[in-house]
Amino acid sequence: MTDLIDFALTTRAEVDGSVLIAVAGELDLHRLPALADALQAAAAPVVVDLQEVTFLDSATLALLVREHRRLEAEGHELTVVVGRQTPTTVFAVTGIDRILMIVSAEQPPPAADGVQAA
Amino acid sequence: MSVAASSYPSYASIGAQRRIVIGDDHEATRVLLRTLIELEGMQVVGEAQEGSEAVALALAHEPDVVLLDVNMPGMDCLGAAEVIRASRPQIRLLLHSGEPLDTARSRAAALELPVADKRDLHITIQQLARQTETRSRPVRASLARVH
Repeated sequence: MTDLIDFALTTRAEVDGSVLIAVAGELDLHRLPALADALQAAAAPVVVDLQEVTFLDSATLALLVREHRRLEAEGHELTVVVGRQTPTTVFAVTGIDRILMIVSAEQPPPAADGVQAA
Repeated sequence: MSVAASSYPSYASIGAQRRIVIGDDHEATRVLLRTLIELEGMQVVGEAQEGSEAVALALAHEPDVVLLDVNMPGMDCLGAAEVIRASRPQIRLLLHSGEPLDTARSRAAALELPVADKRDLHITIQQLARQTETRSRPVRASLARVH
């Protein structure tokens, strides 16, 4: 019953040292600090799983770009996993899909990030 | 949110103090542009949603660069660019477009302005940050007029 989820965020350290941050529900300005805290705590490859996200705003995009740059400077990669219900139009319209590594859940993300496709 | 651009390792020293006005009617694009600009150590001094607002901000702040969406509502991008160029010829104008570049470039040809693909704005911003001179654009007398 994903549609009923207001917001949820879980963080999990993977065996390969990467960090999986899974978010569900609406990712707006009020929820963003939780994602910001999770991202900023990471000093390893990060996978942000947005498969269960039904809404995301511009501030989320900005956060993802900033954290991508930070991790990149530290030699790590940030991967965003999107699913069927993830609002991805904004990724294409703004060109963020050319900045971030965005993979569909239908495709397996990079093995180094330690996440299996749904 | 505790995310501050200054806390990130960036190219701040390269693009320091360059001041930019953004003109785009899409909020997501403005936010992305601001983020990319600040990550490169440059400063956004104004954000406009339509052409006349971009003109007002450009005249008020006299930035180094004005980034304009080709398809802004109200006073269109080219009208805004022409007014800015006539009034403040030292300001560098860069256009961006989400439509096919050939179409946008043909529209901008009269002003001989560069048009970047909206989806490649991160490249445009990086290039901007790496350019050292801030006010190098020559004034074209034939273009320095208001219609």
